[in-house]
Amino acid sequence: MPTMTEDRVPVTVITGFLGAGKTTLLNRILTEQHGKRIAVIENEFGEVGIDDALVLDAEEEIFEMNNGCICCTVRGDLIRILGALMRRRDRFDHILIETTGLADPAPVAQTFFVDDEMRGQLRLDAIVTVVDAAHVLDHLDEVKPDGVENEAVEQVAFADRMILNKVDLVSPEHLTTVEERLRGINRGAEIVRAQDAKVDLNRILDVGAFDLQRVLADDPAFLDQADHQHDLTVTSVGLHIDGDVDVDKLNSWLGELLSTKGVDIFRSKGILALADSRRQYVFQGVHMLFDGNEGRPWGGDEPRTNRLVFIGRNLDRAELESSFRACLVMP
Amino acid sequence: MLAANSWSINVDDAVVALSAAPDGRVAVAGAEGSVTLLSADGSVEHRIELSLGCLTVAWSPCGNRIAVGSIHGVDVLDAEGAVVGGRHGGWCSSAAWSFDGVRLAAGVGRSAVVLDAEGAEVFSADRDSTVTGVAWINRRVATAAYGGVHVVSRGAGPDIMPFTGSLLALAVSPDRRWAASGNQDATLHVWRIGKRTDELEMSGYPTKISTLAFSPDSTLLASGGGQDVTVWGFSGQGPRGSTPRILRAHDEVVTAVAWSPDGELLAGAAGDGRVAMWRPRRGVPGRPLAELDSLTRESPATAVGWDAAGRLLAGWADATVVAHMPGEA
Repeated sequence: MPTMTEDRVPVTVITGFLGAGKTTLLNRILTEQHGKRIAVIENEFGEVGIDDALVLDAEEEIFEMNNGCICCTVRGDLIRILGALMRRRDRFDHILIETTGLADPAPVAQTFFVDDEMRGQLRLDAIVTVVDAAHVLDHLDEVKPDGVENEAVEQVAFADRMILNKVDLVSPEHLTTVEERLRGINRGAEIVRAQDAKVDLNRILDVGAFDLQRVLADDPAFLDQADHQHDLTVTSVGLHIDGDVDVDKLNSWLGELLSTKGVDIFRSKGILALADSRRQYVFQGVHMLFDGNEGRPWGGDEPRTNRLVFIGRNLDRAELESSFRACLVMP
Repeated sequence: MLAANSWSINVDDAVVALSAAPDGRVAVAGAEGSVTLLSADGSVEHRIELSLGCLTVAWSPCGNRIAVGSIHGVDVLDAEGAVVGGRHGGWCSSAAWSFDGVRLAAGVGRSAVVLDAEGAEVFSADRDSTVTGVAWINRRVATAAYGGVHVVSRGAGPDIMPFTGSLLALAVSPDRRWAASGNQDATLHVWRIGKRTDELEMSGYPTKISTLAFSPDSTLLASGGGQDVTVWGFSGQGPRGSTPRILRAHDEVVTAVAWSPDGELLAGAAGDGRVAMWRPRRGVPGRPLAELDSLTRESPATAVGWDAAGRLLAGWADATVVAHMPGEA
């Protein structure tokens, strides 16, 4: 399994439907005093109005790789622009990418896994999805023709953080309904409520993308949530299993799982206790691709618990759990 | 101690590309958008801030024009650094002068444009994605973009050499027999120009290939795509089934390669800060060849070139530009 040192530049991807508040959030991030120097790649309709910010425009170019597998599509424009940006990497500490409202988040995320140069220099810190509390249900419920993905569902499914924006425009009951719906799709992402995209930036920048410990600790229901087997709706499965993991078994299991189910598994993330390692192993995947590195050391009295999240279609909790258990040194 | 014809200078901008004039002056393009024109002995003659980020530079073979590609498009400068024309509206990472310096081909966004020496448009041809490479084939222009190479000319539809994938670099052999692309999927694709079915693909590179160069006599093609420079033989029927020469000196990915004007030496720059020079014709296919000379700094080496007198020119991300007469180490 590849292990990398973390001197890579963190990248935050902001997604969300048109009108959800992406640009407001972006402008807020750029004007607020947070001590970070941020470079921005905005989409072709972007309107970031900050004079001294390092802002580059991107026009979506989706490239298929290799055999044309959908899991290997990348954003050629981002590879190009990020490559040029990294030539002045001493000018910024963080990169923000704003996507268009209709952008498919998968090629954006996959760009950071497929390209060697990107992998070596950049780290996908978090996908932040801005959600319009008033309109998101309509977008999620919109019926698409066969074979066409609902972008709103994908943007929610791919999120590491969701900014539930415009909470002032809806009733508390509606807000609860929306949150339940969002959690039904993506249980691995924290939901941050906001008005005018006003959020504590510490909750969206440099979050390490998947501080699952918190998410899972806060939400034990996630772990015994009802199954949605053989269901085409997008759901999440969380696993929370004690024990040391055999690296070879894990590699062959994850490899097999992502290559056979990678089309349906949008995202996977986890913190694992590898046998013979004092440090946590942190991984994240997008469809068939994954990337992992060593995290912090396990605490002295901390239980060596493996936490995993899968978000996608057709997820079979029982099968995921039993096949993961088979990777333990002592099942 | 530096020899009289060697020098080193800081241009105060991370070097992205450099190009020599026939008389030995040097144009240096910087990541922050600067263009620095240096005399043959390495002193700054002109400096302009052109854009928010340069991507490529090419001094015309006539010596009186300089093409600079940037994130905004292509600008044509005179030898004093004044902009005389150009075309904006898209990313320009490739620009090539015709052999007589009368025409300039450049990729600007999703178009290949041909300009005259005053920077006025002669014709253009659109592609479906950003043009990543341009090269002349007589009076026609080869353009690389996602989906393959198109060969275009004024008033005629493209001659298409298809390839399913993302092309990052393009090279056409000086004898115009071969076109080669370096690709995102870590392959090198080669077409025999004018023979539609004659193409081949080299795989096995560790990384994507973003730099390529044919030797002046068209017999060798040097390619990046990993820590080594891979050199394929193009004599006779080409490299099909052959074993390449491997030039080894770098610990990180090769960022640029360039042949000396006499075609005897190849220079390669890499992310490890080293610029190495080899004599590739001494290499034995399949056996790594060590460098004969090198320059190293503690910053990624990003650009290499040669002047007509056979001096190596090299640039680094720490803004250093060096001219160096290669010696046998």
